[in-house]
Amino acid sequence: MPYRFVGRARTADSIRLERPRPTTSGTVRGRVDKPDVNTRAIRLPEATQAIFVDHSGRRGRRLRRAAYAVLVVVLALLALLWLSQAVWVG
Amino acid sequence: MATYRAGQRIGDTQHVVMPEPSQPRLRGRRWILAGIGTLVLANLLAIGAYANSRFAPDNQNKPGRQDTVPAAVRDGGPVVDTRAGRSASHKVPDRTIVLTFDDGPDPRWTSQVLDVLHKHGVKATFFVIGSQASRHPEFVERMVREGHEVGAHTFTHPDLPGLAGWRQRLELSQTRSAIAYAAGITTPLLRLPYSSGVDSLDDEHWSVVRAAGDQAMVTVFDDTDSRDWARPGADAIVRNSTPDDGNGAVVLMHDAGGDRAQTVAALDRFIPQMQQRGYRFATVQEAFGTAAPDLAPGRASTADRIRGGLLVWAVKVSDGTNRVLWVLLLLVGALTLLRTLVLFGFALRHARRRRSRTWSWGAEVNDPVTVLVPAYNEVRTIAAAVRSLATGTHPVIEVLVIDDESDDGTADEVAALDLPNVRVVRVPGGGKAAALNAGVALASHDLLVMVDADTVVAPDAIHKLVQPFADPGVGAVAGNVKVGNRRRIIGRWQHIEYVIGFNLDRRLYETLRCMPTIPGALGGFRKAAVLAAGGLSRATLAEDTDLTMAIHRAGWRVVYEESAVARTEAPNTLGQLWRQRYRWSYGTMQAMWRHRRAVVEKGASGRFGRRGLPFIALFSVALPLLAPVLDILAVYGLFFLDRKEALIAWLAVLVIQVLTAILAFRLDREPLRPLWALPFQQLVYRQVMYLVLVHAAATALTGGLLRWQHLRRSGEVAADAA
Repeated sequence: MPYRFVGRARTADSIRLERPRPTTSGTVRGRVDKPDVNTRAIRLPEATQAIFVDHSGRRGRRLRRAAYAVLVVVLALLALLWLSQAVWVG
Repeated sequence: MATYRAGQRIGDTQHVVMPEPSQPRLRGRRWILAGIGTLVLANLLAIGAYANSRFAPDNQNKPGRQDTVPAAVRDGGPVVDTRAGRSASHKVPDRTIVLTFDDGPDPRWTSQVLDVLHKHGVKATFFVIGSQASRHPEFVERMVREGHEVGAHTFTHPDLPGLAGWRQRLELSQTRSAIAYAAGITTPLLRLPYSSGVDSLDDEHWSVVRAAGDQAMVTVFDDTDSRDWARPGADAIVRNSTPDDGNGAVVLMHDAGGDRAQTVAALDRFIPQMQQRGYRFATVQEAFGTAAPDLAPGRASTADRIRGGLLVWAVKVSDGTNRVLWVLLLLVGALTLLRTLVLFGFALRHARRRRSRTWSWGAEVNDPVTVLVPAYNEVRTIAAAVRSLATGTHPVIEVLVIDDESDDGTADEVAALDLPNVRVVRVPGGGKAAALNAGVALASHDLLVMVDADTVVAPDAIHKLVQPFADPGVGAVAGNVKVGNRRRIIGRWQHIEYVIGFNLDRRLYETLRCMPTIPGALGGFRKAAVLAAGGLSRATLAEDTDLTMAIHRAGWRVVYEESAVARTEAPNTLGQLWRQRYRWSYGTMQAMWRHRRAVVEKGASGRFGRRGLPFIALFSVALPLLAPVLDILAVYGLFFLDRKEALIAWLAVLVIQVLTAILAFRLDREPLRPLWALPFQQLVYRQVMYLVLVHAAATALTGGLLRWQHLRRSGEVAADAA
């Protein structure tokens, strides 16, 4: 299931789409204590983590956008080429 | 207790409720991308085919009727001006030579011709072919820079009267555009392909000349034909080019279209010889400018240059694409041939060795065996599978069915068999790898056999499968799995594929010690080897491939036992087959990536990494990914090249496939009858297989999540066994 980020939390798509975007206008600014890193749980590498999978979907989005951009440019050039030939053929 | 969604029971107590999967925002997005990609490739190939139109040398056609050609034109000079309703022809002034070169530019010969002209300080007129000018615009630019004249000789050198009016206009306008891009000029000069002297102008060509006049073009014929295209020798070319005493002449030569060494040599002698006789050399505009107005080139507009630029780059890119495809074709052809030869050699040697009377794995293995059968919703097939395993001829067989939270009564079905040597354990749903790990932990014996729940084994299969364990170095054994449901064509195709895969590929892989997969349908393992490999990983979707690679890296031998036969249920529809192969391909890529460090490691792992992984990557991933080139160029050949040659090439590939299949079937002692489906396999199945591979590669690249997909069982194999 695709996951996205809502704020900082990784959230399933179906939940994210149901929620409105958090507003940024009333953001509270201030100083907080640093988290206690000494007692934070150690994150071991997950031995069963699926290979190639990008849960954030960022890689796929970038590749897709790049592919779309290239295809749009190529299609535009092709259309321009054929149109320019057609104009002369009359 | 159970979990319900929308009134439907969707799982048991341990079921983790996941949100309903959302529909992709743009369904079939990948198909749209693939469609557009195919469209672009088809365009490039079509442009390449158009720009590479084959043509015959000039002067091969005989003139037809000349009823409509005005006598004044027919008997006049070589420059025919039909612009603005005129029908005028102009002769070359006496003692004037107009050198004209057709069919260029050519990267080899045009530069030599230009060098000779520069050496003698002479200007000439080049009638360039548009497609050639697109490929080598730098020569057109040099011609203009050095003061020569450039005219159009059409874009692809067709016989213009045979073409429709729009195509004639296209040929001329495209050539002028290419010249505009290359040299920044527009030219009013045209030479028709396959034309010669104006006296041979017939009715058909006259209509083309008049149409060219409507496009403000003047047609230039010749007075003397050097006939250099026939390569008669430099002396003959000089002789043919020389006009009668004192007369002027437009001389026809060629700077492309074959070996032009004689033309270059003849030109080097012709110019000084004619200069000694008092001749002057001129371009068309210099020779006829006073008689015919507006023969000088004009300045190309920006629109002309842009149009020319698009055309020139389209030709360059399509030529590049063509070259890449042909190189890939050669690569694929060479690799396929190499693989076939290696396959034949190693498979035959392997089979001969195994079947020799002296061959033995060692003392007969009668050690007890635990058969692990992971099952998830296999109620239609599990009973037949378990019964065939439990009643095998091996002395002690313990069958352990690991029920992965089935909700169709799979476990009850096994319990109902009431077989004494069968145990059922239920594990929380975690996938096949987790179920097998649980099975390994719960197994009573040190020899393990893993069997899919849709597979029926022969009575002696387990006994035969464990015999290689007489060799203490053997860690895993692949059985000989056959497709049991062959009634439909898709089953037959898979049967052919399985027989080839098991009887040729696995023999080769065993010899090279790089067998990538012990099939999940029937594989034997030492428990020690499985534990040394770290058990079955959930990191990949091809847990069998992953485990096999890990066993190699742990230093165990992996072998193939052809006599241990099982029949499995293969996908019955194209959709199911797609899903299965998609998972296999993706899983194989995951497994290879997971074990990539083996390439730089020492010992057994390094041996497998450096020998096995590249071999698997080359022949299991790279070669199938490049295989579409065969079909793309076969279709291209049918439309744009010699159809006969294209068909012969495609049939040659088919013959290789047939020979490979026959060898595999013979080695497996299988009847050859199903091979009638092989030619059709080449038309549908092969293409589907590499599309699946491309799909899997795209998923791996984009980081998409591919889940295990349960296949729908028909129960055909189980019913046959019953």
